[in-house]
Amino acid sequence: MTAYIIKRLLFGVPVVFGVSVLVFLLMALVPGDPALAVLGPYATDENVRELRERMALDAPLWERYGTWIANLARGDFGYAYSLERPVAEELGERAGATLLLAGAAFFICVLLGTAVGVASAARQYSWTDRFLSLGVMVGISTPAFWLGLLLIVVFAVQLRWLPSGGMVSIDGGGSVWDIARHLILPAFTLGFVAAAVVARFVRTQMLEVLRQDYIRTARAKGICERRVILRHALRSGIVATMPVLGLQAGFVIGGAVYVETIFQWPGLGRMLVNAISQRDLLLVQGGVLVVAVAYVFVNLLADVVQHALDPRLKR
Amino acid sequence: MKKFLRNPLTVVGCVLFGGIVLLALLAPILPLADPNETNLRDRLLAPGSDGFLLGTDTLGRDILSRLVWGTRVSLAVAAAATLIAAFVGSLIGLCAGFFRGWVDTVLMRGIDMVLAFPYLILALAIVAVLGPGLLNALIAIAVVNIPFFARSVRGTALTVSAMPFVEAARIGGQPRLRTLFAGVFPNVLPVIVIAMSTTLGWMILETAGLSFLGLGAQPPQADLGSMLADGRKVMLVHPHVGLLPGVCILILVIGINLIGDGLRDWLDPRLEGGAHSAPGAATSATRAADIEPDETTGDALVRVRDLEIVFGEGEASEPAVHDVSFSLKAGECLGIVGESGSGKSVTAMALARLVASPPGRITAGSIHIDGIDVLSASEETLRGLRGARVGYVFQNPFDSLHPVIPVGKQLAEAVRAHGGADRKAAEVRKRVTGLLDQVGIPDPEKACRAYPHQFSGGQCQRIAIAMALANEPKVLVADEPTTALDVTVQKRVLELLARIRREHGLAMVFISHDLGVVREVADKVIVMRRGKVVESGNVVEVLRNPQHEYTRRLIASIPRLGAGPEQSLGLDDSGKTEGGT
Repeated sequence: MTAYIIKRLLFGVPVVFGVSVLVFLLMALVPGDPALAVLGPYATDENVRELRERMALDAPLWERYGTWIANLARGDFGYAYSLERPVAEELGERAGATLLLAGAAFFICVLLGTAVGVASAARQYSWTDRFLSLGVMVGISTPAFWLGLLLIVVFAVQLRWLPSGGMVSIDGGGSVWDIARHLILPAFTLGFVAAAVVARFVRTQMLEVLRQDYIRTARAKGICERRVILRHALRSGIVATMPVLGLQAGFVIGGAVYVETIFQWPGLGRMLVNAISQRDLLLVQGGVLVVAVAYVFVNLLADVVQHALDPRLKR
Repeated sequence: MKKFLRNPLTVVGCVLFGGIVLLALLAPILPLADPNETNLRDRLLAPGSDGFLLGTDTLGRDILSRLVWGTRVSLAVAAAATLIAAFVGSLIGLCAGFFRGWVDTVLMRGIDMVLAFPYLILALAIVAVLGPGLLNALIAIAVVNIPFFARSVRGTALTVSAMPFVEAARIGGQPRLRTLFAGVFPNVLPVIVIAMSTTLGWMILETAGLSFLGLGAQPPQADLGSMLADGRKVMLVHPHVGLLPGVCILILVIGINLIGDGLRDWLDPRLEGGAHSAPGAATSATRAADIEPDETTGDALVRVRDLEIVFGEGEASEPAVHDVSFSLKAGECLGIVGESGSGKSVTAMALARLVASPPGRITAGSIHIDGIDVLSASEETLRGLRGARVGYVFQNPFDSLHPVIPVGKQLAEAVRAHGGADRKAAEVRKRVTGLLDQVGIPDPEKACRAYPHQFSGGQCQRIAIAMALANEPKVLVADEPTTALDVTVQKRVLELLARIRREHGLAMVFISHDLGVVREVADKVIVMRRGKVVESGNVVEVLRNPQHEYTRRLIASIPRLGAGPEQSLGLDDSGKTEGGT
């Protein structure tokens, strides 16, 4: 197992390298003078010259990449001009909020998606199945940003049960209960939409597994159908679902951008959108890099979990 | 095409999508208000207001008209992005799958890099570089969807490129590119169409999303996403302004997704023949009148009368078994012989209603086992039958054991299944190791912790036999238990079955295509062909004096040591059960 994890980590290295190159190239290839793009139209000539020097813009591309990576290694992500503070500081402050939101949404996504998928497959063609499949179809087709608005209108405006947003910071001294209250609507918005895809995949996977010979064996033993489904079929179904869960993590991270915007959640997604509007490219670069690297590791984790759950993959 | 429109949901999808597309196309000639005409006196009117069917927005513009025109923009952007992504992605996938080698490696590693990003984040990064705007959003969305096309197309292109006609074209000196576009491409087209139908929905959502974030359509241009963002500002008091564009997106995407599902069912050959159906817990059974036991079968443990099993529904249905009757006393062994498709396995599965259903149904006859009327039994009663009174050993031992649950747990579950739910763990464990020992598995303690793939086929079958014996059943049904095994292993497993039958006084139903094997284990035999019993009786007599031509041919096909090459009978020994067909 340890050997596998190490092997997998090593495979992750070129991917992370590729990601960093791509992120670097994206920003290096911005049309026009990058320094001007970073500083905006109102920069003084002196500032531009200074930044050009700091970014070593006159050096060849590979050398600039080297400088950039070396700076990253020292925790220097550059300076966010729109916020007048270092990018690293801003990222550090916001990563936690996104992690909390995405984590909660992912939890809902996995739980809800699996439950619906299993219930649907266990009674294929029944009214339960049809009803759930319809729900899944609606879920897959729902824009997350619209669902968020709808939930705000219903639960915050009409029913006044939950706040519509206004979370300032997750470590700003609010009580756990306060954070949880602010978390419910955004996490559910994001989780619900992501769950639909999982539900669909789990249903298909379960139907596939239920046709296998070992399910017939389980039934021939005389154990109850509930156990056949939940223990025998789901066990295999979950193993096959792991890679999809990894992909869904990406969907959740992406969807967080919308949800954070709607619910004014102080996370990386909203930061990215603001940074793009302000053309604060170093901030965008830092944010994209952090999210992408985190995503690489989530997929790596999904692989490792799948490996741990499936003894056939062990040597 | 008929098949495509047979699914009512697909029709609903066509109506939704077609209707919206038609509205969007006809926008210029429809009697709609000017979508950009502001009217500050009529701001934020509720839906149903005089002259404004869906109300007005923050600037007093007619929402209905804006929705129609906004849908036009969203659809155009999504369609363009889909075409670009489909073109570039498919080209990459085609080349990678067709040329393989370094072309494949380089292209697909590039695709992997793009896939290393969550796609919305990558789209944001691209917009950040190019700057906000609808065209840039379109480019970003097209780029992030290229990997999806590349991957789907590559897979199919690989398969198609390995087909004989491609090789033939190469040998025939046809230019490679011509083979690629004239030979491989048409075969890959269905995949591209399916992928396009899938992505079009995503594209609509993503375009709207970027516009919602203020990174797509810029005023005065408006698409559904930017309208939603506008409405958000007045959401607390006038929610309809923001919610209506969202409803529009939702309906549009549902329509596209429904059509996409229909296309997949239509174009994907793998889904042919209801391959998506999973069998239920028990074969569905409609019963004819109950049949009283007559004198000859009064003390029988297993009694089957006029059994009829049908596969499929309606016009496509065909009887797999009909008019099959037999009975079995305690300690007896009945052999059922026939070639693939003769209905022998289906008959055996039906004893505990294990025939996959759908597609199988028991349509007539009766089955009684140990006093239980199987066909009218409740699920609860059936559970009391399965494993407790009737044990099963299946054909393919690898596939019949759960691949990711340790063997010991699978056995313990069988032990606990009947009247032992609260047995002590140590007691169950002792029973499990006892069972494994009984079937000749060395070091049972260690075997308990292992998984099926760590055993040989013969050992797996021994474990399966141990599992079938867990609750001392009165009847053991063995469905081609040795077919999937090596010849030498076959013999030992047969010996094991014979020994167990002797020691436990079991009644056994032994299914095989090999009359030679049946001769060694069975007392009685029935010979089946095309779902019917063609001959039955004492095994020695049937072999000595076969009445039916088919039986004679089966006897002739029994392999003898030193005999010439086997006669070809069209017997299928490929090791596939007919139970699955």
